[in-house]
Amino acid sequence: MSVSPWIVSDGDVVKVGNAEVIRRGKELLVKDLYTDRKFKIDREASIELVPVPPVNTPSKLTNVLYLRFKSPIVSTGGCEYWVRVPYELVVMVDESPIVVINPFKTKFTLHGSIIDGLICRYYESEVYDNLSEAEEGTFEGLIKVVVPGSEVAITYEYTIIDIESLDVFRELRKLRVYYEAVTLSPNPYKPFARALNEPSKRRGVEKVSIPWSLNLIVTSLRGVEYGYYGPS
Amino acid sequence: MGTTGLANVVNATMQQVFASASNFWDMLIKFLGVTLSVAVVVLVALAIRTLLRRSLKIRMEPYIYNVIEKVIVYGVLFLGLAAALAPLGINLTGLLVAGGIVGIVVGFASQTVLSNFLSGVFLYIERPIKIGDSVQVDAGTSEIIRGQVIDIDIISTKIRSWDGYVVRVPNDKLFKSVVMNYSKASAIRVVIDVGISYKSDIPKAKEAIMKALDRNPYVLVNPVPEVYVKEFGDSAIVLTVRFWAPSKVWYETRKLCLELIREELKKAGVEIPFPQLDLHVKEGVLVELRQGAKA
Repeated sequence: MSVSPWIVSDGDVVKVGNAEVIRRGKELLVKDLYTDRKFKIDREASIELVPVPPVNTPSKLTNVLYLRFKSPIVSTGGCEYWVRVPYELVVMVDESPIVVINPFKTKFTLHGSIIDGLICRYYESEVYDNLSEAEEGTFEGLIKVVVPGSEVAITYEYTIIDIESLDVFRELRKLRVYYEAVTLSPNPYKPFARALNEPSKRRGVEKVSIPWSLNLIVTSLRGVEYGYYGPS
Repeated sequence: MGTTGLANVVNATMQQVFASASNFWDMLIKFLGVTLSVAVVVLVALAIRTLLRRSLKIRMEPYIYNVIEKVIVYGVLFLGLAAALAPLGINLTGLLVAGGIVGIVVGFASQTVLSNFLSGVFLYIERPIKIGDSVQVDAGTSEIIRGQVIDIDIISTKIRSWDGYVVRVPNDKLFKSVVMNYSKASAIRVVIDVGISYKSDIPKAKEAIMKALDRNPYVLVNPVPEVYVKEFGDSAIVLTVRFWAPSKVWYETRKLCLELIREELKKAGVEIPFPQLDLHVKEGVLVELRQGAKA
């Protein structure tokens, strides 16, 4: 019976992008661009990595992802593409989340006006025709994007996805993450993608259950503690 | 005094005693009735408060809910108590009229309180600030109040200064003040001036600064950051760096970016000069050199 790649056993070094998890005896080291922490754990503790939507690090400012297509999609609809998106990893010790690490470099952007606009997590992706092409040579998460039908060709430069509400799936045999499939919005004033309530990939994956206590640990992350210091 | 006279005195005394006893029992019953009524009024007011807390509190902003709860509960208490005290000879209409007159007198006597209250009402309507906002209040006094709003009441607003003090600002003062709310907008623009030496390569410096901004996650991709030459200063070419950051973290972002800019400029070999003055001497100057003198 093969061990799941999401389980970190003693002596393992798991590296995904900028994120690194090292387990040595009773020591657990986790680091990424924004976190570098060492934990003391029980020798027999079980450690698991759980992929979650990329909205928790360096600090939680939003729940949406602004995904810019490097090659804009121009279509009258009825077709589907694959895009690459980021994710974060929750380190679970004995089924309790202890820290969230980020394999990707994080950037934010503003959608809309300065006053009422929406702060979004920003990411850019190439658009791929099929899954195998999208999977090649990357550790990024993947989403199937369906282009809705329309009478005239519409140009899709970007989309905004409420990524925190999407279901997350992880591959059983590889460190690979998929999200629920989405359909693009043809309305340029409301470019919010809609979830299709189906996984982007059906075989060889399992749905991830996001730990309910994740919000409790996000506040303790190293990052910006904006409640304490202000302009003086 | 004869026997008849004594009997009359005894009768009169007995009648007085019986009358007093009757009055006493009447009074006792009235008093008990009033006490019971007051208790019912208080219980009804408490029940209304509980009902409000369960139905409205979760759906409203705390500072709006607090006012609604106080107005309703105290209103019910006041009217209920006035009605309950009526059997004791307290005239409700008279009390209300008297209350009104007293209210006017008290209102005139305490204009500040009234002014604060009305300002509080207008603040609720206009809502320039809410609990949790980072604000700067210029009340026209010697000190400008900067901090986070922690409570908005009918009469005053409490601000926790960045130093940790709780500052109570009367609502009428807040209403008349210039209030800068850092949390109202989604993003805030940050401006930093950076001086580079006249020997430095400007495009290289601009590239290094853009790289530093790219390294910080909170520098927004859109609106696009910019770097340009602001002026040729006495000791340096002054570049202005402008970018936008989420309002919740703009100040932290500014602090981190200053360090990153310094780091990237150093890596790129761009010098940040200190104020200096070049002295050019037109005529020859005699310099005396002594043997053994240290350089």
